[in-house]
Amino acid sequence: VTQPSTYHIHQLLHASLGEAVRELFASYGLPIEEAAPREPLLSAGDSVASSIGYSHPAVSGALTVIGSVTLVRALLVETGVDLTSVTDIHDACGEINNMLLGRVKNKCGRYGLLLKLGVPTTFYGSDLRMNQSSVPSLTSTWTAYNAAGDRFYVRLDILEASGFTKRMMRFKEVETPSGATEGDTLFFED
Amino acid sequence: MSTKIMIVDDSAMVRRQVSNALVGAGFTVIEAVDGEDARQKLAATPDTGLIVCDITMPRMNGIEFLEAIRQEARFDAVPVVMLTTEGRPDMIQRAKSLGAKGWLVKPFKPDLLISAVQRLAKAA
Repeated sequence: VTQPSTYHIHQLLHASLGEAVRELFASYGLPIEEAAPREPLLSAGDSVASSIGYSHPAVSGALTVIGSVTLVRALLVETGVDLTSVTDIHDACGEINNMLLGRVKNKCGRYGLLLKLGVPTTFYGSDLRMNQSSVPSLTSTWTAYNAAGDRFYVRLDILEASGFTKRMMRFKEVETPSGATEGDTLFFED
Repeated sequence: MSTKIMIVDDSAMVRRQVSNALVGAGFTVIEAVDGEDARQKLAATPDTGLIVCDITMPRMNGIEFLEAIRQEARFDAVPVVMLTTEGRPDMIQRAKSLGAKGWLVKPFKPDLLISAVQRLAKAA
């Protein structure tokens, strides 16, 4: 697949997120495919959600994920971790979100878009329903995925800072010879 | 006696994943929830053979923890390997300049983590 030479900030964030979701699930041995969203967006049964904010001088926003407790358990079973308590489920969902946004950050960093990330906030409940954002200047996009016979939802909120022109919002791949990507192991010799 | 490995991560899930892998490989594991907790536990367990440390944590992050222990001569030789979602070159260079011995990007493969810990703990 030929990658564009430059990305607008929205394209870069969305392309990075799409890749990150597929790669993260694949690393846990769970295939995932994009699904047509249902209305209203609803995660049935016991579900958990996590949201993490990000920022950059040109853009800020949040990445939110939501899935059933069953799916979160299935995602981690390959790693030998058995989630037994509600606290475990909160923690696991926050970490999944953290790894997802961390991948987005690393991918965007290769284009010179250096994001700062917050820490996860998590929610737990039954039949969680998610509304579209009502903030006019905020672009909010939900993507639904099928995984392990269940649904996994990802929401990306993007708020452009004022004063940035379209030209300044474009990012081109830059050399990062000493960077690291997911699964890499680097050793520092003395 | 098996080598003591300290795992520093604010996520209980990650601590459990790392612990499962390392205990299965014959190591003894000590867990800390952030850099400050790790400093206190390191003072109480000076025979710690290696530290596996996250970067983004509340109270004291992994880089601050590295800075703190490098100021104490008795811990200067303890190898530290960073285990993080972070992959930025400037962060990697910062950790390296503070004496970190390795950098693993999450999610990790248990066999790679074990071989990294075996290699670095043996070299220490």
